[in-house]
Amino acid sequence: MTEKSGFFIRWACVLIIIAFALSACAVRQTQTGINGMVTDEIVFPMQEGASLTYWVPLHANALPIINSFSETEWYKELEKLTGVKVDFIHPVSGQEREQLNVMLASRDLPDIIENTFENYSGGIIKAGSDGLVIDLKDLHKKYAPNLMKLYEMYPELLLDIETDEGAILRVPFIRGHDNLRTFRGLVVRNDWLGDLGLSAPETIDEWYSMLSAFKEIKGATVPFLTSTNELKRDYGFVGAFGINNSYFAENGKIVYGPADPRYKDFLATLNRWYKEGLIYSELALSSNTKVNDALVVNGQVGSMMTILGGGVGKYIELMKDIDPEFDLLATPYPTLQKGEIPKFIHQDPTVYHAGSASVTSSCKTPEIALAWLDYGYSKEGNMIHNFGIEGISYEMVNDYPEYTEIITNNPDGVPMATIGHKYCRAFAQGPFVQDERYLEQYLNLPQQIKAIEVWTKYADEVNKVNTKVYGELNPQESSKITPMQVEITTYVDEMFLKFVLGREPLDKFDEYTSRIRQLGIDEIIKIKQTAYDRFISKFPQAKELKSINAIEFYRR
Amino acid sequence: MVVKRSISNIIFDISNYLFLTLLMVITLYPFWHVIMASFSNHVELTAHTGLLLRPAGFSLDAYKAVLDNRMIYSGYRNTLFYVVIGTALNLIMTSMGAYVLVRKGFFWRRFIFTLILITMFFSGGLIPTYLLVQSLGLVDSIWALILPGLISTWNLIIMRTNFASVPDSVIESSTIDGANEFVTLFRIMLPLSLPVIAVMTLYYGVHHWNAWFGAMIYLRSRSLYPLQLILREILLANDTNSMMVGVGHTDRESVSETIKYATIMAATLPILCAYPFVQKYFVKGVMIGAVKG
Amino acid sequence: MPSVTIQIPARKSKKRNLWREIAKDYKRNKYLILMALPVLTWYFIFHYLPMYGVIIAFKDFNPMRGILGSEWIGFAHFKSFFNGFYAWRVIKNTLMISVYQLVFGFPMPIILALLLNELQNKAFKKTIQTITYLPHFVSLVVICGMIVDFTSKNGIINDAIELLGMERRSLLLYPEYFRTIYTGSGIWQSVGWGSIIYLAALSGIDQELYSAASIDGAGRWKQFLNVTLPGIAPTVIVLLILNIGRMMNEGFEKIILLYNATIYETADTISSFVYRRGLVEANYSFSSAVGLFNSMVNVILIVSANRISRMVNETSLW
Repeated sequence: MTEKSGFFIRWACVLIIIAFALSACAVRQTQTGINGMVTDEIVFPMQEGASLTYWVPLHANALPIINSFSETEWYKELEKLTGVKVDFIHPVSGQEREQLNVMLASRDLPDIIENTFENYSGGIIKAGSDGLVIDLKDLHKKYAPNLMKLYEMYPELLLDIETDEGAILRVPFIRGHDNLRTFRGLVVRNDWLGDLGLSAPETIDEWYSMLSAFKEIKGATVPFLTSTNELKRDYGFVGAFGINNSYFAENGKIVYGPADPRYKDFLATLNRWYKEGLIYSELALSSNTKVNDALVVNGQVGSMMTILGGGVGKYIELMKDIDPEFDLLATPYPTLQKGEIPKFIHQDPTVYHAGSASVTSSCKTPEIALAWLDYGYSKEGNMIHNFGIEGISYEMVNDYPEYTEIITNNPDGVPMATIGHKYCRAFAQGPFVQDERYLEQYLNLPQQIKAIEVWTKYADEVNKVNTKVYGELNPQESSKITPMQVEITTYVDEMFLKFVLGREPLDKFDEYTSRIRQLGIDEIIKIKQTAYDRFISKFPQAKELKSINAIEFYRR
Repeated sequence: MVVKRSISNIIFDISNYLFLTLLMVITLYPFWHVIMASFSNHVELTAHTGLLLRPAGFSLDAYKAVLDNRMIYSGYRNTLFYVVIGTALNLIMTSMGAYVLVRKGFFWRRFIFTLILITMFFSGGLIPTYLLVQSLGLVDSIWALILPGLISTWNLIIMRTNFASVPDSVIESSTIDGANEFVTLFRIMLPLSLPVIAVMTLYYGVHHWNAWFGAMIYLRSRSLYPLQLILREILLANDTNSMMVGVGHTDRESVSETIKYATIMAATLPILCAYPFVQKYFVKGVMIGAVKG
Repeated sequence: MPSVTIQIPARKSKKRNLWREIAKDYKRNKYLILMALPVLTWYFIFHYLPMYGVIIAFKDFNPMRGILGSEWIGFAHFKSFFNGFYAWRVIKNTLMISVYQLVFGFPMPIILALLLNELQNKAFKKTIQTITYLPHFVSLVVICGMIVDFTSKNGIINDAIELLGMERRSLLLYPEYFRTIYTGSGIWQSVGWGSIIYLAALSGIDQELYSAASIDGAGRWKQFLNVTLPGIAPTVIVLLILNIGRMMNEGFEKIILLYNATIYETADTISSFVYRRGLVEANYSFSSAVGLFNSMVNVILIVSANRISRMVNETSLW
């Protein structure tokens, strides 16, 4: 008896203390209120001054020289011109996702967040309906004159910015020119092609004979260097089979590539190549740049899927002294038939969400936040973002903004890819219109220029058969498909490698597709189709895209 | 018979030495690899395969680049602070907790122990803890890295187990002499338990040295970052997990591999240098404990 | 030979009046209460206050409404986990890796400590100790980078495999090797560090016991059996119980740095699964539910381990 009552008394004490402490906590939490005053107009520079907080990841290349955007020249100039002081919060590079998610879940929000919100369950729509980010549409008329003018000139931009319900949740990052959108593709050793008397491969069959020749005659141990993720890119080999590795729209119908019969042919091709030692045997290991570099430097690699700067540029630079013959040639996106127009090419969307900024519900002065962001879309703002400060980081020569030696040939020996971040934002994403003249001065090797030409050849045709899956899911829809999608993705990832590496025979493909069906693919496609149809009936013009070079906005 | 035993003794000793030497080599090689790689020329290093017994083309460029990175210095300073202050507070709190739990005849003892054990298995999780730290006003403060981890229950239990092996009579006689419990803890109990104190110092110290998750979640100012966070940033910067990977244009001059190795060295060297000295005291502590125990 | 029993004898309550006992205890143990107070306060603030957060597992968490304001949905997250295609696989993988750790990882530091204890050459002993502790100071990212390097097709482990006349292969691409690599590298990293606690326990053994044993004619092996082993047994058992209680708690970090889709079959564990669903997709409710399930399993494990240990050799955690 006593034991029991003693127990009871002790726990009662504890509970009382907890209750007390909790209530104290609860009181502390209820002191939030928004609704700042609404001023009539904002004139920069603001006399009364204002301050904002801004969450944005720092690009890895910038880390050696800057701790914060507040140390950069472009920001200092913006502060001078607007009178708005911005406190930047930079997450740890490589842990952005985790840190942002904790901040969002705890509602400890800065005024502005620059992020896709794709890692927030349900995306930005859900973040909006959860009340984390706010709709800026009504504020646009008064506080975003530059953006309004831009949207007036290119209403198609709004397809990717406005939600189905007509809300505007982000101030976008816009790739101002088609040349800025295409920078990934397949490259081959041009010197080897010459030695073998081959021309650049265009079809899967030509690729096969070229890779075999690389292996047999050139002795390449890795005729095609790749990783799992790269193999799945739609503009690589999978695209040649008319499908991609995810969802796409085909004649208005949503298709899931990995469950499509054509996927079997794709797998069979890769499996054959793998068996014959034509593709990198360790492709399944998480890609390790060091290993890749070593293979290329040792002359073991005949071709690869890569990017313009970090791939073509890096290797040509690295090999200059090691092998003067070394040369890379960009090849067209492969197809099955010769002369066929590819269905998928690498093309970043014009509105690139990663650099888009959203204003949160914690912001007490959303109109100032929007007006400040909008300033980046003014003519001066655009020049500052792309080129920095006239006379310091660029000079106007015949109407062309030329980077000065500070950027192109830094006296302290800092590489352009790093020093650029100190003077302007064009070297990474952000809420502004990116100018292709930045790229022209940055990627200037003839091989790189040629690559852009080859890769963008069919851009217009690809835009016409727009395979993009439009239509955002509402929160109910997305919470319904998420658990199914997670399992399907895990299963497909696993089986993809097993088929390619030959751990499972391709006879099992039917079994595999029926398992995907069992995991709920039909339901997901149905939901996505509904959302797609909903969107297309509202915006029929989305079916056929024309390319937009939004930078023209500043050149009228 | 005596001879026979000594033969088996000798065989045992020899194989023991051989085995431990092998272990030593296996443990050391990766470190050797890192050291040699950090002094290598990055082009030659990328071309190298197999064992790396000496630098592939000697070069100090990587170290120059690392030492030019201002973050390294503030990282050192911060980590030093977290290790010294954090560990000191850890030890005080843990030994008080452990002491309370071994004092027989203390009414609340079992109750407190149960309360503490429960926390090993049930926690509110990341979000509630973050909300708590936030409401205490600790976000973006150095205390956010020290206060939430003041006691490790695991360590507390190990310490309690060791305290329990000190005979009751010693403690009792001290308290009967009129010393209060604080005096008994710090004057009698701790000196008698030096080995475990040395172990705890190391456990907590290394924990602070390697900690990065809390800093990643709670800190906003880069000037407060500990060294490990900076190390991670450099190591994972060009990783495929990074959100920034979408900007394919810009990573032409990717962080060179040798810089990674030099950073590892910079982050590990101080502890390697300090370690033999710390270990001396640690071994001494063990010896004292052995003599007294 | 004294064996140290750390079990707390059941408190015999003779006093019928509880309050009087508390009052008396207060008078007698004022300083102990004073000492316990900061510790308890800390536990309340940093462990018990956030504990209301477990209810998130039964709710559909919405950041704007907060944890308390979110909608209750009962066991939906648990159901969705157990009805999922992968639940049993990740549970099995977690268990298997834990068993590997326990069977191979747990005894290694003890063996190392015992071997070190048999060394006569103090300088050699010190060197070994210093060196085997080193890997513990290296961050996991670095370690995993090395593992991937060394197990790759051109890595040094494959050099050795080729010497033995076998075929070179990327070890991390074969599900059958993952547990070995995971556990083996774990041992490499922590064997020295883990031996510290046993060395401390060994040094606590009364040297006179050894002299007494050798006078009785006990050889090295006998001394080891009769003095050394009983001397460290309490430490071993407490750590074993603690380890069993943590069995299902393998962290996600090392796994996600090492695994790839080819070896999900053996490498995907509860923690990596929860990481993908929780931190990456921000589905906190779901990951809390799985975490809660994990905790329950661990409580059952530790309570049974403790009970068995108490029955078999009278040593226990509580």
